[in-house]
Amino acid sequence: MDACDIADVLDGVRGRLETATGEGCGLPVAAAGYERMRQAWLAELAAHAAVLREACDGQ
Amino acid sequence: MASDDYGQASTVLLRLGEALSLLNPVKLVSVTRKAQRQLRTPPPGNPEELRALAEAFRWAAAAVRPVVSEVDALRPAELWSGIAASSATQVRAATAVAVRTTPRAFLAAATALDELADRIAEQRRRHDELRRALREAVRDATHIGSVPAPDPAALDDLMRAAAGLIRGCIEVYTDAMAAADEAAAVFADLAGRARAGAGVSGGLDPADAVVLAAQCVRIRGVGDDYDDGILTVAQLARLGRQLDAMPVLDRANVGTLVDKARSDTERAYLLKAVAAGHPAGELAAFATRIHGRDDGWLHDHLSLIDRGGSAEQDRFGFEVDQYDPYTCGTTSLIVARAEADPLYALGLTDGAPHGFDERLSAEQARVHDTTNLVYPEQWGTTPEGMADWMNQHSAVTGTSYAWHLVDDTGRRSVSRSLREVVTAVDAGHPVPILVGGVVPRHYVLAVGHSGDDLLIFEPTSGATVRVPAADFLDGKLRQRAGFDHVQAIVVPQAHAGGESGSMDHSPD
Repeated sequence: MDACDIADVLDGVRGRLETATGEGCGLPVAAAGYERMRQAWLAELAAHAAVLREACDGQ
Repeated sequence: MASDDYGQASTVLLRLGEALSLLNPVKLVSVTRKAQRQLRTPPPGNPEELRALAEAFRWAAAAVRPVVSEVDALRPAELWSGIAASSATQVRAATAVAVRTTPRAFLAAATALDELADRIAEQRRRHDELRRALREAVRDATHIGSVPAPDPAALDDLMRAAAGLIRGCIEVYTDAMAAADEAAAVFADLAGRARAGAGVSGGLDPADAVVLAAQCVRIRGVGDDYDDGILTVAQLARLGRQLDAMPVLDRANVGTLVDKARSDTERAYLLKAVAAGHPAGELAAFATRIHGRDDGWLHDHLSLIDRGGSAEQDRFGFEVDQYDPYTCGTTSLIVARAEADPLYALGLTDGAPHGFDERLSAEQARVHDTTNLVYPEQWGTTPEGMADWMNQHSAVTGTSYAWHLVDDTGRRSVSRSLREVVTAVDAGHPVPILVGGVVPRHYVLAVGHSGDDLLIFEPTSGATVRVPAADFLDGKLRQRAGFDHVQAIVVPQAHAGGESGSMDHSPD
């Protein structure tokens, strides 16, 4: 796999995870923390994919 | 799921407690009927929904795992051709580490969601049983056979049964909220591990964010069990915004300073100073002072503690500790500020190494004078004084603080407070904690959280110490914090959930 392929995989995981985990999770006190965690990791996946995309564009 | 589930569960708990206190033979039937009405609200949460979320995270972990080795195999210089080869190597290495952590984080999220689902399913099962038993007990006491008439012979039985069943229901609802707090602590821990994403969300270039996120404080003898990033996750998020807010010329000058840095560690501390809000002139002088220094010098001079694990925290052979019995709070404040601001830390560490202890003591005396304008210094520092001092430095920390009492005889109060502490710490904000016995006696500073443990800085010994969350909840902190009970916390306002209060006693 090259950097473009890896970025595509990570973007795909991010998209599917965002769709599949969109609902809250029970108690609001846990749901707020859950949503922060979910958003943080969607952003993290996006960051990883973006770095690889920069490399991909450099190829 | 209803947005006010938590409030409903709290209300049910309150009403059940009232019902229990009012339970007597005269009001038995009416009070029991009121309790029955409260029990129409089941413990909140949907186990099936939680398990579906867990499955989604488990799938994501499996989907990312195969690409970890592929990132390791990329050839950096050819790929990130726009930047120097050494930097390209750093970008590849940091990206590989970041991608490798992802499946572990997703599996941890899945486990937390499954455990919460199991707890809620069990709570609902117990709730159904108790509710049914209470209904049958009321029916027995209000019917003779199938005839609706009070049964005096059954009233004694109902009295005993109702008290036991209401107590059981109180336990179920208490457990429901404790389970939510525990899940929230895990989610906070995981959110704090998404460091590169925080940087990009704040406006950093992705490659810069990934490399900066990987830079940690490294003091010999201190591990990496807790997040000890040079920039906390809050600072990574703030850095891009601070750069954007700078005048164009200042931003260009900062860019020049960053380009001239000799190492990623030097660059990270320089950008930490940017995140702390220092103006361009101070940044230039700071950059000159630290330019070309090796990593050991930078870590020793630009932080007061290493948040990576349990260890004696010293600088140049001197412990970072309180200099008299009344400055535990003061010392916690100084460490909290130094963790946010490398220029402040340098102000204490720069100079003759043998003079560090003297400089730290002088700063402790100065800060104690500032926090105790009226209050006698030999009585320590009030939580209000602690919060006020933190708020005087909110431009550096990026947040404002408030304090509130913790009733650790009440499981709900202490569980909620623990959630506030770990959420703040995982977001990169240290939390002063007031502990004591019968009266408040001592401050420690929460600086880390991982899994079921907190990491606190204990200013009497000048050490970072691992504290199991269970000890915080159970009031058993004596061995690690000097006193058993949590009595107040000083938390960022975004994470505060309690009420402010007043103090009759102050700690040392």
